[in-house]
Amino acid sequence: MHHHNHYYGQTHILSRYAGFDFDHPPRLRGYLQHGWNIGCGWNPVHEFYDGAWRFTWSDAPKRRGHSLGRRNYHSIGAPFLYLMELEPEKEEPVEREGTLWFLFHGWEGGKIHGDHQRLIDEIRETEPGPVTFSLYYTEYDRPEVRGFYEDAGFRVVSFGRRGFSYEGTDRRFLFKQLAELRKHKRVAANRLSTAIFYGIAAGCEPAVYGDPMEMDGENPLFGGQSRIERLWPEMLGKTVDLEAARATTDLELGKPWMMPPAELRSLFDWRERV
Amino acid sequence: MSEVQVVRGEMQPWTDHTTPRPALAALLTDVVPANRRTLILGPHAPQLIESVLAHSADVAILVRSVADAQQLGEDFGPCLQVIAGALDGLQTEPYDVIIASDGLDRVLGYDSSDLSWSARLAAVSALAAPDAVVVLGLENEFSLLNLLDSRPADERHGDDEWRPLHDDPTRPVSVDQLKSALPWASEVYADFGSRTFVRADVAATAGPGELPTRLAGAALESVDAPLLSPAAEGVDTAARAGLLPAIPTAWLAIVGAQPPHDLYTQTADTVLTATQTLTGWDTTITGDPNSTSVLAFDPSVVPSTIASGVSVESVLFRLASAEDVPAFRKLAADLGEWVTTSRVIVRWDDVIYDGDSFAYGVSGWVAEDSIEKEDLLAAAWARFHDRLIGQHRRHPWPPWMLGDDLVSAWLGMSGVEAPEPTQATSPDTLPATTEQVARGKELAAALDAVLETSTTTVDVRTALTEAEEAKQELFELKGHVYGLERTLGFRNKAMKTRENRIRELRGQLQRLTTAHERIRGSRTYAVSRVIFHAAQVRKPKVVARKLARKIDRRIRKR
Repeated sequence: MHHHNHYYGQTHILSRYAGFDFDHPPRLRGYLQHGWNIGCGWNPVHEFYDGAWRFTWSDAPKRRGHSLGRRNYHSIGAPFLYLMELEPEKEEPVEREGTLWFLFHGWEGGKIHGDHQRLIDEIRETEPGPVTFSLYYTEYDRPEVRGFYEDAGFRVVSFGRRGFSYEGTDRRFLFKQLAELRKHKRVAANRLSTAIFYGIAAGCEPAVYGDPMEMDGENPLFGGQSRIERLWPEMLGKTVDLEAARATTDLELGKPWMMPPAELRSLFDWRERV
Repeated sequence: MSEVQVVRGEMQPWTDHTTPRPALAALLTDVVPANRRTLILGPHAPQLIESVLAHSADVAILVRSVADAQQLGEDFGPCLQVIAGALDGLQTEPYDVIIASDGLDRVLGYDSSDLSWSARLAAVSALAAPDAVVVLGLENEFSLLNLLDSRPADERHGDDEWRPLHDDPTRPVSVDQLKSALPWASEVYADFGSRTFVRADVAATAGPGELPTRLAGAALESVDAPLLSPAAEGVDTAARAGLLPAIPTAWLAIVGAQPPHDLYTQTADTVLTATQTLTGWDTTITGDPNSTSVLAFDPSVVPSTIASGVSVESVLFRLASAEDVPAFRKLAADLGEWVTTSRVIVRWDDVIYDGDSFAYGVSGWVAEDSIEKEDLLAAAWARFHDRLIGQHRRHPWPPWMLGDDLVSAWLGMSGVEAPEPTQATSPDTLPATTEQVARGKELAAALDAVLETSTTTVDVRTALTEAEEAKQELFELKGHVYGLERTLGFRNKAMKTRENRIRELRGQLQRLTTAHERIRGSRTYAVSRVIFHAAQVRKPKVVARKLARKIDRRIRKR
């Protein structure tokens, strides 16, 4: 329905999981959460049409949204988890090595600002193995940002664009991210973010440290580092209790809320039509 | 036909309507002593009279309607002494047994004095021997159905009261008041819709979803009264408050006898009695069920011991309300493993759950032949669907999923594989789930019919809710249209972007083609082609010799 549903190819993944075409998914009757956040699953000023259904990854965003006067929620689990089912790890997985490091990324409407050199120094001090640095294209396409990390000797990757208005979406964005995560032993970021949860789900040991940086026009309702520290202290630090982190990840990505294909088809109104 | 004795206060023409009450008949059978001088006071259905006559040969009945008295005389002959007249007109020796289970509201005529309830009770007391067995009914003014009745006070009790009976300040409106008002020590049973009778102190300890509460709720559902809201919610709330004995439609006080069972309830044409134990209920079933529909009641499948615990339906309701789909899914999966192919119709409102295991309750409805597990599960989920949605309970499933799709989804949670989606061939093509759940829905409808719980009267809250839902649906459909327009807008934008891109590519192609043509027509290109071809020659000496021979032949020809 909304073009955000196609971000990162999430609807495409669910479409394939439900038995439909990957490249041309059916229209999804409602809004699909496209990233983890500490709010209701969407940015605080997101537009919703009247009576819209909202498909969250997990239960907590649903509760927060309810408090905002919004109704019609159903939690389904993150599409990334469905992708992991669709693309199971090989029976003989590659030996994991190094850290996949995610820089808190900006978006099309806001660039990030921070001390990149200081962050690089801290990463060098902390990470035991080789570092692959993942930049969103908004940073990857800025030579002054990308250069910092390339010059530091890190391998720099980008998984593509999430697209806009159904254009420019890299439908295999999450495929590439999953494949890269499965090569690494650790996943790290300078803010607790979607990528950390994805990394833990994909079998990485997590770490969250370093300058969290600032973003242009960042809405305090959306960010709130202190709130993150209060709610998810077990997820922060250079070494993290893996068992606790996995339990939190299952909840935040909504693993218990995953459903079989037939149920998903009914839920999304993806039924047989002429 | 026996002679009808007439005393003061008889009414003619008049008749008092009576209905068979099998559960009450069973209770009377348990408490009426044998061969004692007995008076049945007020209108009672023939079935009840028979249950008294079965114990005693010396039985009289007092009814105010002469026509009713004549009919009773015809029906029972000399074994029943029939008296027509009012309570205050009966002057006789005391009775050893007085059965007034209809209460004291239909024992006076229009010529009688305006006796209050307590004055009528005094008159009954005067007719009772000192150690008499007395069974006395009392309609409950504080009943849940009365509190929820949508009719105003002046229409509540119909138009057949020439003197108002129900605003009588002497009339008890609680179990304690009733016990205090009686001149004898008594045991009180809560009477739910004349279908279920529960010992008051047992009812007081019954929680929501437990056997007495379930049976009380089902009994009230079968009463066809215009209500402000469904009674089920109030029954559960009363049970939570320990007030189940406060809200029945009536009470039955029993004096001088001790009924052996805590619970009497009507099931089909049989009566189930249950006695509470430390771990659950011991049950017995009496009567001969008549099979007149697709389903029959088979007493032999009702367990003689029923575990205490709540119905699985009440747990599923709570999980749906909490939108806790994972826990709902887990419970549905456990139920799917528990149900097996059987003749017994499964209904979640009569499956007992102790948090760990499941057990059948008191529902003994069976089909003629064994039913596949998948169809039994479909029937249980279809019934649950109708009750969840019909009672407007909170749940997390979107409106387009309600109906067969949702039942199918729950079946999937219970381990029944979903049907393969099929391509629709017309807009009216039914989804694959319709066929999957069809048999289950038939069974659920048959069960609904034999349980007689579907009343035709719609309560006010439901009517208002349905109107509000229709408005909400319209509101949401408008939103959906807006959403579709937005999608079209986004798609249109994407199309324009692609159109512009195609135009750009076309322009580039045109420019490249022109430049290409220009290059191909130039001398430079011609020379370059000659050079190119010359460069392709692999054996230049052979070519030179062939060329020389060709030139030589041309010169000779000249």
